[in-house]
Amino acid sequence: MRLNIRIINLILAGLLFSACATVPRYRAHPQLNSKIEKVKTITVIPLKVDVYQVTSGGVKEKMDEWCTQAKRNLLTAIEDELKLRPLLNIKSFPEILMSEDRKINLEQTGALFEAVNSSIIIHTYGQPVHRFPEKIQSFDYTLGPEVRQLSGQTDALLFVRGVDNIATAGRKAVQAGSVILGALVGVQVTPNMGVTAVNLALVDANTGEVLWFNFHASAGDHDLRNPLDTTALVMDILKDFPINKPVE
Amino acid sequence: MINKLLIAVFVFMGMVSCATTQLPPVGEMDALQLQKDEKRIWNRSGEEQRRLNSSSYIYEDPVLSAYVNEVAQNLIPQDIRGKGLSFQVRVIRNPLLNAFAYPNGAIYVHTGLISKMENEAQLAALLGHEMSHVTHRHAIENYRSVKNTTAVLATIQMASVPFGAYGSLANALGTLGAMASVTGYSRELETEADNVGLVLLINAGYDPKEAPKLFEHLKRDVEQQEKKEPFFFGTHPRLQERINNYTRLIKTKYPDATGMKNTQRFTNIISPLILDNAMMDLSMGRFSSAEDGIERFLEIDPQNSRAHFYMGELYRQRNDEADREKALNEYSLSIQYDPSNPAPHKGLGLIYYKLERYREAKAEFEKYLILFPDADDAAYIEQYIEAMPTK
Amino acid sequence: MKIKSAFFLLFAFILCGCVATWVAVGGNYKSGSENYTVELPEGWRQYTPAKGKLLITKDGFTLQRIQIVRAKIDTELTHTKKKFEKGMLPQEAAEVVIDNLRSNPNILNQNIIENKPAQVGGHPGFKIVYTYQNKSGLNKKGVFYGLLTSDWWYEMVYEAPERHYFAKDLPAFEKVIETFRLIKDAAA
Repeated sequence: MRLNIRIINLILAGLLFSACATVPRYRAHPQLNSKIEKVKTITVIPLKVDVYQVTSGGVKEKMDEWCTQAKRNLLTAIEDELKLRPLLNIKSFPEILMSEDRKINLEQTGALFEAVNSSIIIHTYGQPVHRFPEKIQSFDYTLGPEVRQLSGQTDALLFVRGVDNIATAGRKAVQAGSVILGALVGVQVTPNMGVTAVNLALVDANTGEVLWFNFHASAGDHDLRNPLDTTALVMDILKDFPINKPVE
Repeated sequence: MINKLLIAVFVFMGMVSCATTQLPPVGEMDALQLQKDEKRIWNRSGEEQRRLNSSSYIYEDPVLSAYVNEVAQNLIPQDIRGKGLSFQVRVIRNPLLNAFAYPNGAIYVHTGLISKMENEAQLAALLGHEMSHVTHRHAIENYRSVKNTTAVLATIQMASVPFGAYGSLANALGTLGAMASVTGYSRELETEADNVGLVLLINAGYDPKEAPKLFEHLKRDVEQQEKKEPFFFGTHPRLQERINNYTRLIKTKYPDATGMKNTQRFTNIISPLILDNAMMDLSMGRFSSAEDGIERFLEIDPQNSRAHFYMGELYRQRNDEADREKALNEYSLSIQYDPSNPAPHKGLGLIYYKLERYREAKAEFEKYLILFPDADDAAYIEQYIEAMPTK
Repeated sequence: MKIKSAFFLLFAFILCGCVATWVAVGGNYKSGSENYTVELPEGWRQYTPAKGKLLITKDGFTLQRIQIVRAKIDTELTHTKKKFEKGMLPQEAAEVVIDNLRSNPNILNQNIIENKPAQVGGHPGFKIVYTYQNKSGLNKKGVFYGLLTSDWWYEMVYEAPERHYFAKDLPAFEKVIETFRLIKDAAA
């Protein structure tokens, strides 16, 4: 949709300015504190992670082996980090032997999450002209209670989206911000260079409300194919996670 | 600025594609062994096809589907069989004249193109052409050359598709499908597919003189729609050039070649598609294509009530001079051939209503509702009846 | 200090692009140039760069949008060559809208759920309810109200993801429809 692309482009350069803003990077539901108390089990929805090689011509080629590697690294890093929280049970979404109905449900849930994700990025993180202050102050995004059909025995769902653009030799990251949001909302913005972007959303499995949302974006500092890089990135995203690690 | 850039890239791509095929065709290999980037585009192809195959774009007709795949199977040359490459043909619900192949052997043909064909030999010519793109690995060659061009064109955004507004699937397809269906391949690769496809056609026993007729249909469609040549971005040989190429090839290499056309069998199987496609043309406002399609169907089945109704709809919606009379006539024929068909009564009712011939309009609307009490548009019809003067 | 602040504000203002891109709406809305008044729901925002149409949302366009458009009756449509014509019945106009939807190559699995006459601003129009799937695989649902006058056509459209969002904001759209009025007579 041309409108979305125009909005994304408008947001792009402004992302770097947002680093100066006093608004915290994560977003949280207004009743997070009371809702998070009930979260003892989190199910991680199958990750969506794409890793591209960006050629000298600026063309992105999706690299399947790198995608698998990045997905594995991200999932491991997230599970390892969350398992440090006592009394928090982390489960994987049972992808094997899914019925056709459940597959469709998962696809639709994922597609709706993309739409919510785009809106969060554009209107609560983007360039000031596109921010909706009321959505930042009262972060009430939701996937709807229909997620219950997918949830099973869990208190919250974790959605993770990642994209990594690995520049080939000679291709340097320029105007990193202009690609980051585009990458996060699935809009291809050229030119593409070495940009890594990951976002994470904790969703109430009963109501569908987005309880907590955060993202990380960098240009050339991380490589999702590298387990150590990925762990560092995940630690950064989860440092303000509302379920805390025990104080040492 | 954009035009100069496009010209520069076309020249560049022309230079790149002047080189002869660098990858050996599948027929020259002992077994199909994909290169790394080729495996990736096969994976992308699979992803795109999964979405396409489960969508409303696929034209569901088991008899037609079995038929087109049978024709394709008969074309497969011996040196391809058993090497791990298979072909699957699906028909896409789209009235534009197009067909494309993914590198993994999945071929898609638009209903629009099939509806213009006259016989099985022309279908075989098309399938042979598309299969040659696959066997000669044109997708990966094209992909490699495209990757190295500037990002502006290499991203293959569809904003500048010549007839983008009128039905290009490009926005529904992924990059690979769009590349195959819209931008196509270079002049040289298309010529190679024409030439190799012609050999497949002849070896399978079809009449090669039917091959150039495909492009004659395309050319006629382009002229009819008054648009620039479709979906080739100018890097394809022009349609007349390709017609000339085929004609010259047949004259010089295969002057005495004859073969089967299987016209009757072809016509019997595709006739429902002709009418369905005409309705898609009508939806798009392509009145003359729609009219051609319905007329062609009526040549096959002159007493088909549905076809006469559709013709009536075309005239009613087109609403040119004298169309009203034509519409009335077609609706009447539709009723004559099937008195239980409710739809033409509605058509008649609408025309009479607009002509303020209320007595006749009321009669037709009432017949419509008697024959089709659960009609989705009953609310409109009841409103007309209510609004009409009682005398 | 004051001069510095003013300079900073000016710089920020220029940086932000001067004109507000999103404007809060709610309550009475009048468009003299488009010849209608309507009551807009509270808490929504209008995207001002959209020329020739009123485009509003609450959570972002990916999650819901309401648009009101007025266009000359012979304006070309996006996906079909068919056009509206003077004197068309609402049902005929609805046919054109449906054909435009069906011919849209950017969406999949279009389905018409409802197509019936409706009063629009007190004039005979039509209502179409439809579903489709977008390129990202999301199922969406929409309601289209249309009205033809002698020289213009008006459309009021509401679209949202079918799951959760469509039902959530439909009442807001229905209120918009109830309050829509032409300023000058429909025959104008």
